[in-house]
Amino acid sequence: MRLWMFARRAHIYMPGSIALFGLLVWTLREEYADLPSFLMGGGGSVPLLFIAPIPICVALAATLDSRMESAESSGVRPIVIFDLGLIAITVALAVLIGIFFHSFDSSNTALAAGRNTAFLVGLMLVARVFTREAAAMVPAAWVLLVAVIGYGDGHRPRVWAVIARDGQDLPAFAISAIAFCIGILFTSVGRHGKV
Amino acid sequence: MKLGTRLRVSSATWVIPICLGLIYLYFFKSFKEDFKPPSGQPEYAPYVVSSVLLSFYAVSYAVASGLSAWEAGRLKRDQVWKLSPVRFRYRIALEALLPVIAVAGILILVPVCMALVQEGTVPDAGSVVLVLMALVISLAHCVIGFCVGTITPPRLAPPILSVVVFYAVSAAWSYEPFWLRHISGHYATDLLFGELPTASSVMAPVTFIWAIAVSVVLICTPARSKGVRPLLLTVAVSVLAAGTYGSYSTVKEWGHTPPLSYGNVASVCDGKKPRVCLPRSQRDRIEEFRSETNAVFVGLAESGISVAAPQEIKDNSSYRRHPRISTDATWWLPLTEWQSRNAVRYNMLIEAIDLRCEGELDQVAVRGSVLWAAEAAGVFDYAWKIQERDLVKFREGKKILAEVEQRLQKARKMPPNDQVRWYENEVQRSCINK
Repeated sequence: MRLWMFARRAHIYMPGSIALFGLLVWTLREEYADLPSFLMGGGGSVPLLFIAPIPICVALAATLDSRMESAESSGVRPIVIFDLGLIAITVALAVLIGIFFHSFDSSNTALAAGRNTAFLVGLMLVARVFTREAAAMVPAAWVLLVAVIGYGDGHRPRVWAVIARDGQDLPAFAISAIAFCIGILFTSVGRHGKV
Repeated sequence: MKLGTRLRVSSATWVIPICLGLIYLYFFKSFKEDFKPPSGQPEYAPYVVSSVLLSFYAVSYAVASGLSAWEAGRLKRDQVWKLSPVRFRYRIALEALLPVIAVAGILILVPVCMALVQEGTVPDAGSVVLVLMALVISLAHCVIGFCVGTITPPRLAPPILSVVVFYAVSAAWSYEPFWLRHISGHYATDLLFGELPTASSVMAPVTFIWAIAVSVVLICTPARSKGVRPLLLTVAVSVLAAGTYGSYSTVKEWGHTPPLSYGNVASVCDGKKPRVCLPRSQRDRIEEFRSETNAVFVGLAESGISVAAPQEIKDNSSYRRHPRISTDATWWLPLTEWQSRNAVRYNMLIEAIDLRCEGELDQVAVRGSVLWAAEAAGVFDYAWKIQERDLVKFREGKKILAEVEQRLQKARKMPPNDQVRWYENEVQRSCINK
């Protein structure tokens, strides 16, 4: 497991990205930016906390890509289980940080940041099946697109935008959970199937 | 590399459909339905350009820096830098960056052109300024993105950089201190009729971002001999410090809107006593204007009221945010705006009889005098409508209007000389504690 961890560089990326996530949630949870919308009536203030899950997604993508291909595919260690565990622990920590700040000053954006991490990590894992290199770009693109076209009339976030929804929004929570599960599923199947 | 191969491996090819989709959404779901110049504003290309760009600065910069970092990571992964040198490093970088620069440029130029065509506005030299600024700044973001992508682990920089640039640029104008927005590269206002950006307000963000770009390039330049490295670092730090501090000290005193130059519209004058000046695009309407103006002054003179006509009446519409102050000889008035509302004669009359009052207004007297003068100038019906509309705001509006009408009717029965005296008396009465 130590070898696996060093091969993945998890000992660098994971604490770093989690700490960065915590820092961002702490500093940006009440910050908003007035963004021009690309859709009529969609302009308005957008929480800056949208960017908080990006470091975690990027770090996870970099970690999962940092491998020793030949040794891993012929080895006997339960690598896939380790990877899945790493993903689950990271996302769980992010969600916990969100809940912690929410309980602290009932900030909904912090709660949403945890949920968004699960959603964006799920997206990234699904994208990894199709493109290893560009997987980390998908969450970033999602964040940018939601900021400019994710809001409809009267600056209401659309359902598909997920990350823009309120922290206690049930559909967004459900979609995030499903996206994360699909991502996990793809990751666990993908390794054996050699996609 | 062949063109086809270069396009196939370039990230720009994959991103361009998304960018075109964004432009499509902006144009058809926002611009076409929503875009409307302020009422009474004549056609003005810089206004169209600047308001379209407000949506695209941040997106263009984010795409530029993210994709450039991506290309840098790709070159590093493919170990292009380790190949035996057959080309200049800068040429390799430029070839990888060209498609990215093109995408960033498309994000700026295409929406602007579409908007100009849709509005049927012919672009002039002034409307190019902000477009050029946006292009130059997104080029700097390309350079910075490429250098950052070269020195960071691959795949880490592109997503983080693009999101950070997007939020930093577009959030800057939601935050104080104001200098943030002035160096962000997101020109913090649209340009109303006659307004153009000043040179310093355009150069400040350009200097800021290019100081960063140049210093990053210097830091990333591999040094061949030992002594060069510290030299490069020193130059990089001094360029960075000079550029950023220079642009900061230029903008630190500015308010929420960058300094603009006003009245950048060629005007055409015609006639005498008073001479009327209108923007060149409105040149055909000067005659109409002069006849309306003359009707006011002649009408008032015939009724026995003497008002001093100015030498010159100039259009103030190109100074909307900073109206010029009238003098006795030259009146600055929003002529174009009046014309679009078909209200030239009435407004000119109000200016001519000049009922300005420091104290409290007597509603009955002031409206009575306006209506009497309006009758002399031949715009009684219009003036009556305006009073009716105004008085809706008052609790006793109907009562005031009835009283005004009663007094007017009594005045009308007097002989002309008495009427003039009555009018002058009403004017006196209209301003309490003068």
